[in-house]
Amino acid sequence: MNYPVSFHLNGKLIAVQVTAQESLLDVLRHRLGLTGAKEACNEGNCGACTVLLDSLPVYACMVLAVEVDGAAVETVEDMESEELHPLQKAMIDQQGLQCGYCSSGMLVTAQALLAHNSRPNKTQIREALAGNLCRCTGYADIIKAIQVASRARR
Amino acid sequence: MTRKTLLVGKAFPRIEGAVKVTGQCHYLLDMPATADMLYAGLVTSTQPHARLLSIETEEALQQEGVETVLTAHELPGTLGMSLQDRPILAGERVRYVGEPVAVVVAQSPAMARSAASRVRVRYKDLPVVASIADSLAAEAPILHPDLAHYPGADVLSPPDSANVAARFEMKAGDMQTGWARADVILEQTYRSSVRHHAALEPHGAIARQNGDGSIMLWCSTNAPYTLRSEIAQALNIPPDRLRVRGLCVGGGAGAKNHTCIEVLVVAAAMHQPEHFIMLSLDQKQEFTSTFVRPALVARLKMGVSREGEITALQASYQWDVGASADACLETVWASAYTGTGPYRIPHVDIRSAGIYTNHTPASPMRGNDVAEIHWAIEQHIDQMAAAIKMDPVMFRLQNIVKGGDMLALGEAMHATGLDQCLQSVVEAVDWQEKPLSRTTSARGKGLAIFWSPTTLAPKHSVEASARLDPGGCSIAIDAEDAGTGLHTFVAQLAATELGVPLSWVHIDAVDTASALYHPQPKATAELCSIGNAVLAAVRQLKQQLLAFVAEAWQESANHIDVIDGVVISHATERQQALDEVLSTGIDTDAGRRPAPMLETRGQSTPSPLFPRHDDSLSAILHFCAGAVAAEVEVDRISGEIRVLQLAAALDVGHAINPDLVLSQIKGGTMQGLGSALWEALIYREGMPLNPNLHHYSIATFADLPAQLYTHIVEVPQDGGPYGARSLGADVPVMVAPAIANAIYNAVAVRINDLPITSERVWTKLIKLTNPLR
Repeated sequence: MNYPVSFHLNGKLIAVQVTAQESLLDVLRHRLGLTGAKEACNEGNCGACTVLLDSLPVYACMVLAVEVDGAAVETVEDMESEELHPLQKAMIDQQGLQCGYCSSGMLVTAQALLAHNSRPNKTQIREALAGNLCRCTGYADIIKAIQVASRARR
Repeated sequence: MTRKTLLVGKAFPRIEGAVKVTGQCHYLLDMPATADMLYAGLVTSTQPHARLLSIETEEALQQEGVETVLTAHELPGTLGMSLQDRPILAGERVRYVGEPVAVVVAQSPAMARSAASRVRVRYKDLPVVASIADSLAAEAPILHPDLAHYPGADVLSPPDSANVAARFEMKAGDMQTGWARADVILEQTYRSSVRHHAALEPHGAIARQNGDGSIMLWCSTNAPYTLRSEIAQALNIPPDRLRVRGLCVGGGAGAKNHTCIEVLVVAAAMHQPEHFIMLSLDQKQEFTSTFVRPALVARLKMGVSREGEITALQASYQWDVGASADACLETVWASAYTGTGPYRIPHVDIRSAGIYTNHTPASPMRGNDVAEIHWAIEQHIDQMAAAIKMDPVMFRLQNIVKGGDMLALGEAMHATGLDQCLQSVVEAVDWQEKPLSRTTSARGKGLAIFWSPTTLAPKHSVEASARLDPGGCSIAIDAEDAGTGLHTFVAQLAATELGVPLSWVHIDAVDTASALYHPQPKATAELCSIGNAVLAAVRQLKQQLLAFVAEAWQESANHIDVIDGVVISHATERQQALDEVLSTGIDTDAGRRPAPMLETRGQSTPSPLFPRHDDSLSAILHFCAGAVAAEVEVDRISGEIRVLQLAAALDVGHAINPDLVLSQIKGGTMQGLGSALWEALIYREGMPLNPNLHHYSIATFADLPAQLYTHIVEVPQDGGPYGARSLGADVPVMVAPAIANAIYNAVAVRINDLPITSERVWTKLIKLTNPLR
């Protein structure tokens, strides 16, 4: 059985029919073709699929699509406008990525952090991003990238 | 005369950075579904060791949307490039939990999953071989009774026990002399756990058999050519019929160098021609149905003289290769040939063995698993130094292998900056400064050094191609960049050689139809062998370009060069932008003349390869070397460990891109921290207990030490591109023994089993304070 769901996705109101067991991640990737949020563990362990739900970071694999009716969802696709977002630029310049599979989730979580705290210190960054795993970089350069971006935004 | 714009040795952001940070990088799962796409679902073994009594597929086949179910009946055969000991699908018995038993093909992923759960498999349990000790016991069940008849078995040393898949040995000098010259002899056993690569992107594949019988395969692998060879051999089809396309790889760490489930998708595509077939693994399957890193039991006996000379080493390295050894043979091999660690030891007797158990098959993880060897050696070295009351730094400096030293494997060592690496980390952690300790907690410092072989299949060359057209310079190599920076390194080499800006160079996605051939691409050999092949291809390309310009301008090619993307004659100072030459033609005295499209191929046949007497499996190109120092704080009551600082230094020969090299070292150090303290795939009687990223802990943001120091040492490598060595695989190697040595320094307990859990420390602390417990 399908349920109608409508929500703001990256600023645009969209309506979509979903099944009861479909996750937000399934809908974004398979019904709407937005593959920026990555599918990895699908069990809420890694953070690669993180998106913003009403401005807060959530694991899209752990949110049922029917739950987002009426909400605002933002994905990594919404970050760049004319040019790369300062966070995206800093992630590249500071070597905050290697294989790139965690990057979308990292960036979205970092974006939510900066929205609430424009100059986070290292500890605050570590706490805010503790739910996002990265197997390649060892995290230090991601922290550096977020700090560089927070300075660039001012 | 030539002035090169040197883009090598400079920091550039990785060339694919922008597509990765915008989410536009296409990994396997990002490929769009097609209307006729079918989905594969796996039926995997729930038992570690059992006879397969029956596989009932009728109920699954009656489910809505189910197209077919394949079992070993439809799909017999085995996998393996060196030793064919891995069934494509389990036939008469299963040998590990997670072993593929059947493949369901259905119209949606949900239908495939649902149908897979309705395939009834009946097992008759057999005794489980749960460990190396179990496997070597006299009455142990024999896991591969037909081993001697498997293709490839004749090349390996004859097993000395039924469950030994392969063994190697390296001997030098005379052990009796070595023991006689020793004043102290120490014997100890060290162990490590099974681990998992835990790359974030799961394994997956999409395949399609076209109307003409040709087959396409897209999958997440660093090594498309290896997969093509393995799959073609297993399915008995000509390799040319299978075209493997590379994609962005979301991490591999060694788990994506060989086929595991990809072969099943190709086989399914052959049964359902003209349909795309897709398979993506869930988390549990990713942990149990792909590969793991092998566990090791290392027994070391080392002799040392009072003057601080290591006189002899006897070592046994027994690897738990799981249910099949093929993907892991090189680890077993490498541990014999490099099992001395980076030390000059005159009398050596090393034996290594790959031993079957009822665990998931093992494969290398970030290099040839020298990590476990150093886990043993580097703790042993500290104890030897203590036994003769020598400072561990001095003891290492006195015994490390230097350029020109004869190695036990019969070849001379090349120069490395190992001593500089050691000095660097010693300074970084203020080695001489004794750490503070309190009553409830104690701090300590420890270090470890390492060497790690870069290996390649012997007698094979590596190819690359280069193409110059109005779009720029395109390079085709045979491996994907799983995040190591390979593509950026290659682009820097090509741009430097050609004399163009970095942005002109593009790296093509791997396509095996381009007919490059690389027998066994390995992450550890990527940069060196591929880099040299790229340099050779681009040099030829440039020669052809210069010859074309010379002819057009009626000058000698010797006077012409390309600098910063401009073709220039040093004789006449005539010049023209290269992109203009390529797009609209070259200006000649008789007007514009179109430029031809230029395409060249380059080869590198790496040398020297050693050991030269043994060309059956692999050869060593050179050794990467480095050092790690750690400072820890240990709670005397609970055994809790806090890593306060980590310092890592690596000799990479020449850092083609220092930022990317440092990124590799940092990432490797943190992966090493995880494997030192937490990472273990726990099996109980063959049952995996924690096959997911929730219960299998890798390092997180919270675990970053307050101080993380990384340093590059550059002692150029003969034969490496611009003197570079390969790296990336190597850094995690030294972290665990450095931490173990620091813990001993802090609280005087020695942990021989990896990972170093707080519980293990606590258990030993208790014994220290109350020996009766």
